Amino acid sequence: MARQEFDNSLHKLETEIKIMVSQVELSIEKAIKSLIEQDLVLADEVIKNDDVIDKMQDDLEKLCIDLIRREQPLAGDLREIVACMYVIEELERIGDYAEGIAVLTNRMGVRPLPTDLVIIPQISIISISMLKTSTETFLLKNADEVKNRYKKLQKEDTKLDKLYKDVQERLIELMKRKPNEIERATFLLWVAHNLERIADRSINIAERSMFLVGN
Amino acid sequence: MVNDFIDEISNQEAILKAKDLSVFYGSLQAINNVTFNIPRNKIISLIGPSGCGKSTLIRCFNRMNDLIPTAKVEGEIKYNDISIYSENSDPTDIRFKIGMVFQKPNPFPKSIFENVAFGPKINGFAKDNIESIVESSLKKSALWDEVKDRLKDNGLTLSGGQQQRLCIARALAVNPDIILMDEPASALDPISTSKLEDLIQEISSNITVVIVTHNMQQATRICDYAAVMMAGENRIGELIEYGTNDSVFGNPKDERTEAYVTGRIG
Repeated sequence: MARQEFDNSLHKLETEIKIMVSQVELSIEKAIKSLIEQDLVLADEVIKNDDVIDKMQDDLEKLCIDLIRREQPLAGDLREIVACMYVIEELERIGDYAEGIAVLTNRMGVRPLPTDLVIIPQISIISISMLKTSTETFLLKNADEVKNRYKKLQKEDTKLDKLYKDVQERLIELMKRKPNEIERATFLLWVAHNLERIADRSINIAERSMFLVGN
Repeated sequence: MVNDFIDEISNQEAILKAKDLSVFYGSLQAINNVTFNIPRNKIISLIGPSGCGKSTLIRCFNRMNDLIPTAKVEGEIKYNDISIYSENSDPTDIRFKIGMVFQKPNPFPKSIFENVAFGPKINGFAKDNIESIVESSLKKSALWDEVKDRLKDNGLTLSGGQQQRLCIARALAVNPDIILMDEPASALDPISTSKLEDLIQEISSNITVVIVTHNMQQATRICDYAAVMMAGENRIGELIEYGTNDSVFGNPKDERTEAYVTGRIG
């Protein structure tokens, strides 16, 4: 088979994306842990790690542009590289949401939280699971499996949206009851919002998977 | 799949229709059962690995294979509903309406003017019009500004790219409906190639262009439709996919097309 070097480069691109995915997942997990445990040191670690994720985005974009310039890809190869560029950008934004949660954790400080977090960790579990599924789906390249998983992700997203709405209602209720906690309740609303956006961007990644397999 | 697309082209009024076309060189079969409709005033690229029968197919469209004694053509090609292989068809008349440009520019060893005037003269165009035909043909082929002050110079003194545009001017001078191009840019530098591609797109507003090319990026840049040929283990070329530029180069249906356009085979 011709174009062995090109195939090796595409394989390298996929491997690097897997590494970026694991970094982003770790950032979200640590950000949520820092929130639950009010661990400001861990929150700082997440904030610093965002620079690593940003650097990965720069390097991978350069790799994609280099492949387009050198290899002038067409058909499936072109779709793959373009899809990778989209996914890399989505991952970087998801990394920003994790960083955002860590920043909010810092701003909330170590005083006892104004409410229990029951629903927010639930949302985070679904968001992280959706990110895992969408990135695995992206690397799968099997048209039928991609369609199946995309449908499942849409169902998960609907479930998550309901939880998000529930959190919003509870936090607004809290703000009415305890006006002195409005600021920290607003921060928690933003945390929930960031998790909801992570799920939305996971859906975007799954849509790129559909594009990659020609749908 | 290929047939659905051919029906679609048919509805757009095809200018050329190949049906069940097979070509043999002596006992060797070069292409098998090609059915293929070409729409009017579009650019169609003919692509595929070496030896798949692209040149054989394109040469059938103006009976150039008649010049090869062992060549035998089966099936039918219709140009505007005239069967070009029927006994009544005159190959010379056909070649005026279906011109051809080859890989290597082949101007006559005559002046630039004579190169372009040759066709109209032998085709009985009025003498008074010859000069204006030469000028308009050279303008259409984007060569006029470069040669208007040296029309008496020998055509062979031009650069490779200019010679190729001169050959296109020569083909345009007899007012063709179709121009067949067999790898017309393969011997040209990038600037000449770019000028040639601009020219092809310019003339396609009222001329159909069928172009054989090995350059996938070139085909992607200029063609409206692409036909993909491929030879199997029997080394007989067949049409395996025919579709829009977007479809063939963006999301091909046949795995062999995908492998070819992405450079995995061929």
